[in-house]
Amino acid sequence: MNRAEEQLLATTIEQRFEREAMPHLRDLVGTATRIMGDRVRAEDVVQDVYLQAWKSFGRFESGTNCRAWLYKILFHCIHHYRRKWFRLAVMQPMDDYTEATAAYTPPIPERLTDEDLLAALDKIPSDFRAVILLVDVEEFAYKQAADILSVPIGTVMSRLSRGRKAMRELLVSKEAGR
Amino acid sequence: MKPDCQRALLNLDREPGPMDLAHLAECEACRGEAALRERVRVELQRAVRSSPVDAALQQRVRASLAAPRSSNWRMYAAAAVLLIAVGSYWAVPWAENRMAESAYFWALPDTVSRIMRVGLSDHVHCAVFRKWPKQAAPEELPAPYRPVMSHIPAGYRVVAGHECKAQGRLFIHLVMRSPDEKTVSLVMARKQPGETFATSSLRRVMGVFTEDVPRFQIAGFEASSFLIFVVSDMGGAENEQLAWTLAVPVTAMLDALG
Repeated sequence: MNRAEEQLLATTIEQRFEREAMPHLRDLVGTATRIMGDRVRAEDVVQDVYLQAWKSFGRFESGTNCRAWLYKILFHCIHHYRRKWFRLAVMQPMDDYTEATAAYTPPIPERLTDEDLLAALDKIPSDFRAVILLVDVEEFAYKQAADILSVPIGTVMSRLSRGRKAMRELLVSKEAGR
Repeated sequence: MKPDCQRALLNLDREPGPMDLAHLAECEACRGEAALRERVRVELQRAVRSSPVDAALQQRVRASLAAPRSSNWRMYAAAAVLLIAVGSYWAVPWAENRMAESAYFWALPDTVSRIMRVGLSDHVHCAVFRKWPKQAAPEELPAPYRPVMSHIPAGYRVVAGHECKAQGRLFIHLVMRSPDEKTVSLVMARKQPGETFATSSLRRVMGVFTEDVPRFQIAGFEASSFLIFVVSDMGGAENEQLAWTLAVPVTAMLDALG
C-alpha cells in the first residue's frame, strides 16, 4: 500500500464531508436567500440541508458532484418548508413559451448596481428565479438544473429564457424611471 | 431583426447549434447582444454572492452535525440494544394505529360517515388524524387569512396551516388549538364537478350541514368553489355555531384568494 492509499484510507467521513460539502455553504445560503426572500429562514433551511446531507453522506459516492447533490437537497427542503405553511396564489409560469416573445430584447442599461439586479431577480416568479440562480449564478448545466429541480430540460430552458427576459424588462423600466 | 439573428439570440438561452455559432461569429450585433447578456449574468452572479456567510452560521451548521458525528460504536451498540428492547413494544402499536385509522373509517355507520363522503373522505388523515404541533405557527398568518381569525373563539391560536393536494384535489387546512387543548381544524376542499352538500341527507339548518362522528363534530358549508368543513372536538352545538360564524368571513376569504 503506497502513501497515497494510506492517506486515502485514513481520511474519515468527517474530513470528506468537511472537504466536499462545507465549501458550498455560502452559495447555498445565497441561493436560498434569493428563493425564500429572507436570510434568516434561508439559513435555517441550509442548516437542514447540511443535516440531511450529513445523515446520508455515507451513501454519497465520492468523486460525483457533491454540489449538485446539495442543491437537490436544498430545493427539496425549500419545497418542504413552503408546504409547512401556505403557498399563496403566485403567478405560475407558462412553459409553452413562444419563440416570438423570446426574440424581443430590450436594451440593457449600462450601469447596473447590485441592488437593481437583486431587486429585479426578487421580482420575477420563483420558478424562473430558481432556474436563473442555478444556471446563471451557480453555473449548473441545463441537465443538472433539470435534475435538481426535477423538471424536464425543456422546462429549464424555457424558464431561463422567460426569466432572463422578465429581469431585463425590469432592469429597463428601472433605468427609465431614473 | 433578421431571422438568423432571431434564431441565434433565441438559442443563446437554449443550446446554440453550429449554425447559431457560425452566425454569432459573423454578426457583430448578435455578438454584442451575447456580450451584454454575459455581462448581466456575471454582474448578477457577483451580486448574489456579495453577502458573506456569517461565521456563526458555519459554527451552527457544524454544531448541528456534531451530535450524529460524535456517535461512536458504543453509542450505536447501546442504541441497537435499546432498539431491540423497545422495538417490539412500539412496532405493534404503530401498526395498530394505522389499522385503527383505517378501521375507524370502515367501521363508521353509513349515517355517521355521510358528511365525510362529500369531499373530505379522500383526505381524512390530514384533516382528522394528523398530529399537529402544539405550538403556534412560527410565522404570521398570511394577510388573506387574518380576517377569519377574528371570528375564531378567544384563546385559539393557529398551530399549522398549509395547502396540499390529495388525489388531485386542492385542500387548505387551518388548524387551531385552545389553551385547554381543544382543536379546531378548518378544512377547505376544492369542489369536484357536481359535488354539493345539498343533495346529501345530512342534518341541515339553512346552509350548514352537520354530523356527529365518533370523537369529532363536523359541520360543513359551501363557499365559492369550496366545501368547507369545521372539524373539532368541541360540543356539537358549539361546533355548529362556529360554522355559522365562519361562513361569511371564509367565503369572503376564498373569494379574495380566487
